[in-house]
Amino acid sequence: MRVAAALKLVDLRPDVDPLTGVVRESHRRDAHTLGVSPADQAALETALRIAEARGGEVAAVSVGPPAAEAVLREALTVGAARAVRVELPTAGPHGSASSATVAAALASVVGPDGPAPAELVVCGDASLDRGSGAVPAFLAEELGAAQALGLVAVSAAADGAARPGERGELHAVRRLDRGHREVLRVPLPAVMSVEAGTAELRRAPLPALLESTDGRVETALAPAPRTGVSGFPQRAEPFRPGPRPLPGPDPSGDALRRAIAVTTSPAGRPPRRTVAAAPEEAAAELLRYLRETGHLRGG
Amino acid sequence: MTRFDVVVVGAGPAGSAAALTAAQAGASVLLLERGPFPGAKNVHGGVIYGRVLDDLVPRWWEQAPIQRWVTRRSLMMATGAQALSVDYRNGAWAEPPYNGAIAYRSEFDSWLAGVAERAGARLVCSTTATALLRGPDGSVRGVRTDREGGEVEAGVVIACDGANSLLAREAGLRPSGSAEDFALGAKEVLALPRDEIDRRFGLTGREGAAMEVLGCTADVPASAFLHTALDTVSVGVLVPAADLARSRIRPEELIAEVKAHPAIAPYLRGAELKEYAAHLVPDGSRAVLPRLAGPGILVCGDAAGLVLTAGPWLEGVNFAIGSGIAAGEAAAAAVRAGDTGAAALAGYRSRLESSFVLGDLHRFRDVPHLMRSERMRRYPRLACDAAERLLTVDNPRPKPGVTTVLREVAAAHGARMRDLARDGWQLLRSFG
Repeated sequence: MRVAAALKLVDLRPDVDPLTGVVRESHRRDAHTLGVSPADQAALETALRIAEARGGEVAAVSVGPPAAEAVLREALTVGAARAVRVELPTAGPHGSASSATVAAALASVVGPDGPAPAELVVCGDASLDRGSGAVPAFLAEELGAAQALGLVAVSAAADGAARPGERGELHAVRRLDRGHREVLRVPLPAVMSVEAGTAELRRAPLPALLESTDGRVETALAPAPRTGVSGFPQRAEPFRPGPRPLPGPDPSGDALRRAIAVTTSPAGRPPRRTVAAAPEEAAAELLRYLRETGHLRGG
Repeated sequence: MTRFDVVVVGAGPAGSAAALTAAQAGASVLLLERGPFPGAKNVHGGVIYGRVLDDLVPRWWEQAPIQRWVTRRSLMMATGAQALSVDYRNGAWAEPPYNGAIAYRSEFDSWLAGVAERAGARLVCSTTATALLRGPDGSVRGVRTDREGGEVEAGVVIACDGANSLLAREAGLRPSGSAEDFALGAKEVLALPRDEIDRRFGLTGREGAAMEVLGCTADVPASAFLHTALDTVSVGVLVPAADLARSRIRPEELIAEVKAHPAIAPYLRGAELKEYAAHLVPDGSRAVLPRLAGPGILVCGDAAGLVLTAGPWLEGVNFAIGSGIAAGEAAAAAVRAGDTGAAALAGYRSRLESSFVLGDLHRFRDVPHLMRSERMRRYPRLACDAAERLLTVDNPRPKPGVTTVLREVAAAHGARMRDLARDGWQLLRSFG
């Protein structure tokens, strides 16, 4: 069984402004601060275990600049059979390409017609930098494969269905809200994304480290993006997740209670109120409510 | 099992210099590093004196990642609210071939290891040498690492694994460490805008300042230091581990005390704390120098206790590089000759004795002990009090004579002029 592990080169120690949360672009970035996210390491380990259990080999794939070859060489030392770096045809700093573009670039390599076709692609559930976790979903769509995202456990063992000629399936566990778990049967071909705690990446044996990996990283060029646009829409400021609205404090409480209410996590949502009224009345009601909760001043 | 002529353990300045020298001499070299990259786990609060690199890496200053070149050295004696400084500046130190350098060790060590790699040494990181392999005669034949299949055979093992060297201890070259053998260096890295540092310390361009402070930690015989990088200032203390343990003061409290001193606080006002680090340093006050070589093994740098902590001289990196070069040469010569026994490697020690490494340590062997003695520790306060008496204008009373002031201040501190003269003479003599 051919398994691929998708790895993303990220800045492991970005300089984040403590007040605004903005990532400072100016800081020194050198080879030591570049690497892969813990989730990607777990993905590589999961891929290696599945390939070992089912007989097969792992290809490590990364979309990124030549600096990404370092992480691919590391993947070779821990047991990946092949390593492919995918170069995007459009210029732009690493990390500026959209999830769909990156997924298309990965699919061009691990797809049935690519240089390293795979029945199973294992990704980290989210990278440390942008971390939207969208690439695996786009990739599954590109490949027409099943998707199992945000997994906390994957059973590597071959099950009864993996008879010759049949592709078989994998068992995986996914995290749900409130501590629940969901056990999935994942048919192949599939794209999986795993959380960082799923598996700890093995250490390379010393002889593998001493062996030269020169020239073992292959390079592929991704096809031109279909939409003609490869980057995120122009942003004036660096990426930040959007704000989430929270319910206001109970205005009848004293200052202490209101302060506690806004600084601790709410125990539950306040009951919803539906107002059926004419537009003018509804607007007045809304304004009154905003004054009540302290969001608007004045009478 | 893989075999290398020379296996160097630890890619700090000593290890990289040893690997570079041995590789240049034609030996096959493996350089093992425990951290994820060379310099990852190093803590350094000193100045790097690179003259020792001149022959090894010609014009090294053009490629080394140096933050600032030291053009201002000051020695400050501080007590309570007072401070008395000797401030030396030299503009020529801002030009090649320079004198002292301030660098981030994560960058400097990586650079030096890179030079060794380009010379042919094989660098493997995130790998700890856990034990020595021995031949039937008990001589060292290689190292075992914490990786699978991790035994490596070596002609000579060069242990550069730092102050708490496991390999030197396992080889029986140093007694098991007691607190008396170590000092603790602790420092904070504080960020300030570059032009603000230039203004506060009176620097321009790549000029840097290195300050040593004595006496500002009241209860512990710690020396403090302040060094400027491009946009950070590191401030820290060096304190004998045993004294620190006895005082029951935490090292960060000592740093806070230094930072709060009225002569130092203005330099650091408004700075943002970026990093706190602490590390053991071999204490140079040991009267007996360690054994440096055994059959099949050499010990360098901090692992051999080669650090100079004598008054205005706080040096370690140059001693590490100097010993690394000598070890690399000795190891490569021994491998070439096919004899790596203790006798063949004894040349390492004689090389060090004829160089500054053991020369300086021998010359200043009494200084660290003397500087920390109860008797000497009263002098910063005494000097500050004398300066206060001399510089306070107490009109209409006439000024006192210098001798009178000295005698009175000495008496106030429970010393006689005879003591001052004797201590002065002893100090002078211990500095050679």
